Amino acid sequence: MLAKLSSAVLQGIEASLVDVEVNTGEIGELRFILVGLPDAAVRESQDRVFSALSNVGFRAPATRTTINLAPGHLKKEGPMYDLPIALGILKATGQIAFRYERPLLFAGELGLSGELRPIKGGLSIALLAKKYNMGVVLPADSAHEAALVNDVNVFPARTLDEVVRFLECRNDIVPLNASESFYSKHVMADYPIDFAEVKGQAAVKRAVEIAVAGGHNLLLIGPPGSGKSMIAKRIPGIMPKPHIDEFLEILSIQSAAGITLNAADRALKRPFRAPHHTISDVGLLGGGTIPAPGEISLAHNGVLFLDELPEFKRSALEVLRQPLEDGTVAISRSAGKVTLPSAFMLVAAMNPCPCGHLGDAKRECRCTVPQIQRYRAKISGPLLDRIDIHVEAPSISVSEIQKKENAEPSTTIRDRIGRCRDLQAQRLAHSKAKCNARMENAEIQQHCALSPENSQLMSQAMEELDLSARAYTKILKVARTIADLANSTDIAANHLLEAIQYRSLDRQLFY
Amino acid sequence: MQEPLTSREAVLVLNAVSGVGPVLYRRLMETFGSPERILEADEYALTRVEGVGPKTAQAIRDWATTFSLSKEKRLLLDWGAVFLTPDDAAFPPLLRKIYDCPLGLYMLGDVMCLKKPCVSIVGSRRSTLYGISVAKKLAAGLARAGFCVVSGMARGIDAAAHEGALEAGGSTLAVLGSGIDIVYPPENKELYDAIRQKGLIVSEFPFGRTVNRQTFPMRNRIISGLSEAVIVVESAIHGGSMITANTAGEQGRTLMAIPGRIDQVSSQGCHQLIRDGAILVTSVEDVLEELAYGAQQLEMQLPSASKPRPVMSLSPLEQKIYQALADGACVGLDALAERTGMPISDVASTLLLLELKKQVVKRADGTFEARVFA
Ligand SMILES: [Zn+2]
Repeated sequence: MLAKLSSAVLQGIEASLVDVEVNTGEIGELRFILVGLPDAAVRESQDRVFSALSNVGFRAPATRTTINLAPGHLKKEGPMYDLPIALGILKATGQIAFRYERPLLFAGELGLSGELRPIKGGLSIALLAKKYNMGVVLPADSAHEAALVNDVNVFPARTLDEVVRFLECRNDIVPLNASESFYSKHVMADYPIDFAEVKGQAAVKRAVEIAVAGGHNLLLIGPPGSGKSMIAKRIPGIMPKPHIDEFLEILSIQSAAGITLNAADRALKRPFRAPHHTISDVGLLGGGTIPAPGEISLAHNGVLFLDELPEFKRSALEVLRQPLEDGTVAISRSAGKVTLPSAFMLVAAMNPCPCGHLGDAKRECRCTVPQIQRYRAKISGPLLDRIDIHVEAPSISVSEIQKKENAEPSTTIRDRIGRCRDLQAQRLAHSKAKCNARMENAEIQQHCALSPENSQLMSQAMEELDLSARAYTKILKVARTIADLANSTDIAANHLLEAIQYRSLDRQLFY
Repeated sequence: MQEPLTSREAVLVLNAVSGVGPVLYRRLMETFGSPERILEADEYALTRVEGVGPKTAQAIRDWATTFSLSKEKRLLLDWGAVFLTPDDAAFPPLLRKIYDCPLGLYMLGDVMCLKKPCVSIVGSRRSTLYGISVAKKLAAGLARAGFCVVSGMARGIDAAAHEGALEAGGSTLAVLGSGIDIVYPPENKELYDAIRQKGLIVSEFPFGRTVNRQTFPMRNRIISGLSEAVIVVESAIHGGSMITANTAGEQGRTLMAIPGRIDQVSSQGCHQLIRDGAILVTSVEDVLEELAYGAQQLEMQLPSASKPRPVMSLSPLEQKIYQALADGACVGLDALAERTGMPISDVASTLLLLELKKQVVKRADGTFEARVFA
């Protein structure tokens, strides 16, 4: 007898429909045949399914059985077909009769005793279900992300037995509501990582606030122990609360990468990714035979932190260029191209010199001027072109930190940034750009006009500080953001001057 | 058959042979009596000299394969340079006495500089405005008092010392760690040209030799060896000038150091030297007195005693920041905000204005320093 159920296949972060067809009672020797480009994990499905069936009190098929995952040209990955295969066997062998009548999608990994384990891509599968106006049965752990999708019934199930009784209408499963999801809980309430803990570093905090407010990429320059990564980690927490659409993008990427399989740390928050400088290009950009998101996509709508920037391979920094420009990354593979979102804020950090101690009051820097200049020149070029703000983080001693009182909490900073973003959204309502950093030339001309005196001031600064031409538009955009933070319609001289101050790396300095 | 080499030519050759340094050269001279005879000696005779291995002996015998004497002589002519050996009357007498006196010196410029007593001013390549200002003024004062100011034409303090002497219309001598035809660092090309015109450029290295790790300490021994006194203006504890100071001590030169701020890494080497017995110098008079040259009429005054630059047409905010930097410290944005009670945004913008008004510089370590001294 033939049974047919619906499931899904993930490509990048998009899911598409898969039919799981189970045919039992075939003539021939007792065998279990799986076709339709399954990977190793799918092929091992037989063992998990048979074990689960027997533990729940059902029987494995006693005849030759063929299972087909269609369409056959898409590679099927992972153990998510366990649930539909098990249900297909039960249906084909007549062990259960489906009474539930509305169309459903199934995905879930089975444990040997019949419990359901979370799978990758639950969110994307729910989006697929919505598209086809279907309901979706998922492991309870995966249902939390899927429940965020509007207008689709997500049935969370803990065991195979629960699903069977639900399908036989012997027991109801209540669809999970978005408001009950872990992910609806905003992180701020009890989030332990807060700017209040960063004492001192007022200049860096100011630069961070400007950067986040205008969507500018940021470079922190400071000796080890100046708290660069401590600060970077707190940046997602002062970015505006993610809109549900933004969050669904974040979550669908993380889900596809399997990050959400880990039950800890589930909350409505923006991602922070800090890959080590030895990361491969594929690890950074994404790819592989079954294309998986890279760090830049995992940082989508959040922060990509590159510590020790000059240590990254030049090639790795080169490949960041296009995603930084487009907010997406195209991954080529044998079956064509997959485009993944990758609109992240880049926060980079570097030491002030090769030994790291330039400007450190306690440790002597023994680098020569050419060594320092060469070190800094390493990050020139295309990547530096996309960083609007450079700021120095001085070293501070523990005793100095302890002396200081608690600093402003993240929520306060986030509120200011939120207001600033609203201003930008209004001004740029008819543009592609959503924030100042993304303005293009026409918009810069329109929104960053300088008075004749300020124009004069700018030329003087460009000349006397020997600023590169590429610095010009960056300074204007940052000045616009500083004016917005001050709620000023015009860019005033002090806004412009402060913006120029944040260009350490492309100007003459005194050694 | 080639003409026999003159003594000077033989020294030019031996000076260029790798493996032959001042000490080995002295031993060779003790055995063979003249540089020409060294070049005529056979390998057996050469290797009998202590410290001459087969490799060095080979290098001396086959010098012509690595060195073109005719080319070197033509370069000397083309550049208008001379090569002096310690046998020449014009060779600096103080230098002649050091343990590892060079075989000879290439000289480019005004050799009359060597008639004057020499004082060297050395210090860190990475300096503060304070250090630059002190080095310039001290050099100018010493130049006016009739000294030839010696230094190494490096970035920072060295360059400031040469400039100070030149601006005062006095004599200055640069000892290079490369051939006299190589300008290092390249950014000092203008300074090099000025010293060549009005002062003297000196090196023990043949034409075309570039700088490396070894040539700098070799150069340093000549800087101190030429001088009656060595003044260290700014140096960190492990700075290259500390090596010069050490050599100066071994050569029996008077060592002097300029004090700085106690919180400034760039002066910690000087403080260490003073602690170890170097003479603390705050004025040209201190130097003259120590060297027993008698007080002369000098208009020069050191920053510690001089009035700050007049601060003109500054806004109240600019005044506030400027005053916070007036003690000469190098201060970052955070500390300035604390010192003035102003928000970071105002500190950052005001500092930039002050920089455009040439009252403040931004340093590579992210701190700011006021141009307190003219
Ligand atoms: Zn260093």
